[in-house]
Amino acid sequence: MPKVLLTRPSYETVTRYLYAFSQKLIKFADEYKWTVFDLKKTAATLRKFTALININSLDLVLLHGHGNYSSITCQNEEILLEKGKNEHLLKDTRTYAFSCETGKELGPAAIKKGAKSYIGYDEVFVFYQTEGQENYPLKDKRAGQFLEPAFEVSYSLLRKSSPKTAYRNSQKAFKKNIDSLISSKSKELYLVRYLLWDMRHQVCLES
Amino acid sequence: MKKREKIIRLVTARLEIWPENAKLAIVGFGTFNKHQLISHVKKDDDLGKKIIEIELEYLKSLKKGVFYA
Repeated sequence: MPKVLLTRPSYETVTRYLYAFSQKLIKFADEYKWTVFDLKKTAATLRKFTALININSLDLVLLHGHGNYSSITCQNEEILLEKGKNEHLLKDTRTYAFSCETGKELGPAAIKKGAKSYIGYDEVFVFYQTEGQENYPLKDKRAGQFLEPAFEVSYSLLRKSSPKTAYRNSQKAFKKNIDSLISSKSKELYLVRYLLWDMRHQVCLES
Repeated sequence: MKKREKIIRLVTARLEIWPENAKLAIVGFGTFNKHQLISHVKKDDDLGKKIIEIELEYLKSLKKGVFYA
């Protein structure tokens, strides 16, 4: 069975949203016959990540958390992967980094060190929340407009689609939400600029 | 009025139309309501600059007719 590793930190509002929306991925991965390594909350540490990735030959890595051009973090802002330090850990894997900016430097560096593919964002990822719904992320429809298209990458990769197809499916899902907003009389039209931003700054890098 | 000041006024005006209960989460920066974002835009700090960049990219897209392609 192919192997997938997920990091799912949860320690403040943004990561709590990513954690909640990534919950369904675990069951979905089981349905598609993946062996799942789920590093969630306090288990999302560099030590556990490195140990798992060194022992197992992983096919897919799904990362969630804060990032910048050259690094991505796990629980409590601990740096998980950093350009020039340990990006080689992604060798022979396909990766989706659901974080800000890592598509700019960390992703290309991982590809140079042998990663098969890397999907991420080369700028900040933004999404809307509704005040008062922070404790119920899955009920927050505004957040769903952004996070569901972004998670389409993960679902597509778990369905064993190619990285290019996963990227295209996600782009289509963003476009669908944008079209739906601009063709309706929705008062939420202001969301479009940020959906367009996320869509345009999603990148798919391949070796 | 300088060009940068005009841009800040434009972006501020566009942020004003948000609903009061909407908050923008920027992965890496945190979450902000419209009043907080307007304050950052007026200060023209790192976050304010990012909001301005997003707004200008969107306005340029409108000019290019991206939604009619």
